[in-house]
Amino acid sequence: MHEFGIAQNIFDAVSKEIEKREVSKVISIKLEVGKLTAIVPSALEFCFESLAEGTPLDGVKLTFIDIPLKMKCKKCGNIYEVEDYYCICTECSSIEYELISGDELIIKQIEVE
Amino acid sequence: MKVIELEKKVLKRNDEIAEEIRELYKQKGIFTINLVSSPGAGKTSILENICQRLESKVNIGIIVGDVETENDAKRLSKFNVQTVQIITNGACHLDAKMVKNAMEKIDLDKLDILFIENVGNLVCPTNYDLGEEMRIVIVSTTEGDDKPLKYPPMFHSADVAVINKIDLLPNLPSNIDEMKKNLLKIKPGLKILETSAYKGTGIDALCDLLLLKKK
Repeated sequence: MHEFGIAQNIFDAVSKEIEKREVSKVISIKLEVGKLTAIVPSALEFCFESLAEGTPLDGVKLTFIDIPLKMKCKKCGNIYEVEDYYCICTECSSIEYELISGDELIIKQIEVE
Repeated sequence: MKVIELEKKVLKRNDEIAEEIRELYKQKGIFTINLVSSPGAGKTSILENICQRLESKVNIGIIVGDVETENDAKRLSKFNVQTVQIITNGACHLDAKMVKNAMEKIDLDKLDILFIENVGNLVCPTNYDLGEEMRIVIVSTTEGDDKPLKYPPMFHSADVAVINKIDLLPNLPSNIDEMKKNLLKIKPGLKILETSAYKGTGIDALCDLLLLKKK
């Protein structure tokens, strides 16, 4: 249940931001979650709800943007999306790649009143 | 209603500490390995075998993470190595801060190789960079040939895979070639070794790899 630690980090980061910016109410937090991060959104929501209860972030909704796993082939330069985690270039079948996206775990934006 | 762009990494603090640790290891010439696996795959048994072979050749440190008990550190303390047990009190993974705190109990000037034995778990430790240079995932023959397909992010994050408990193969319906195929599906080019910590098989090759990478 590593989502609890992740939820705590999100809670702390957003709490700090709203204090700094003197925001009165947060409506939602938008997160970018890469395919490689092993995060279960429903577990993260549950942890966040528990943490936020009775705080200024009580009732804040988490929204998720799934970021696909994308690789750039080191041989032919082809950029390809990886389905099912099988990292083989769709053009030249090379297995040498560099990660373009998929490891993100980012608080993208917050919606406030 | 308005939108504030934050673009903040959730694990920013962990990554910063991991980077700090990595820099320190580099300065001190310490090679660090993050050992991950499911519970009971044989992390501690493999470490015992490694210690036996390398304790007189290099200075070894081991940080052991468990939810409870100091049993693993006790098992390893019979060797000429520095050990520190981290008890996570329920947490399912180690983070960089825990490792940094544990490092304070280790004499870094008398250290060549540092093993960080993570909490047995194939999900939660995935995202936590501990400042390691190499991540070794251990998977045992009893766990099912399709284990890599069930936990792709962790296997994808590994640099080396060790298939342990090969001594049991004659008594199992497992197919080690199938497991290897699945490992390579998730991480093409992954270095794969086969061991039996119980019989001591394949440990020399693992030690050779560590000494080679350390240079």
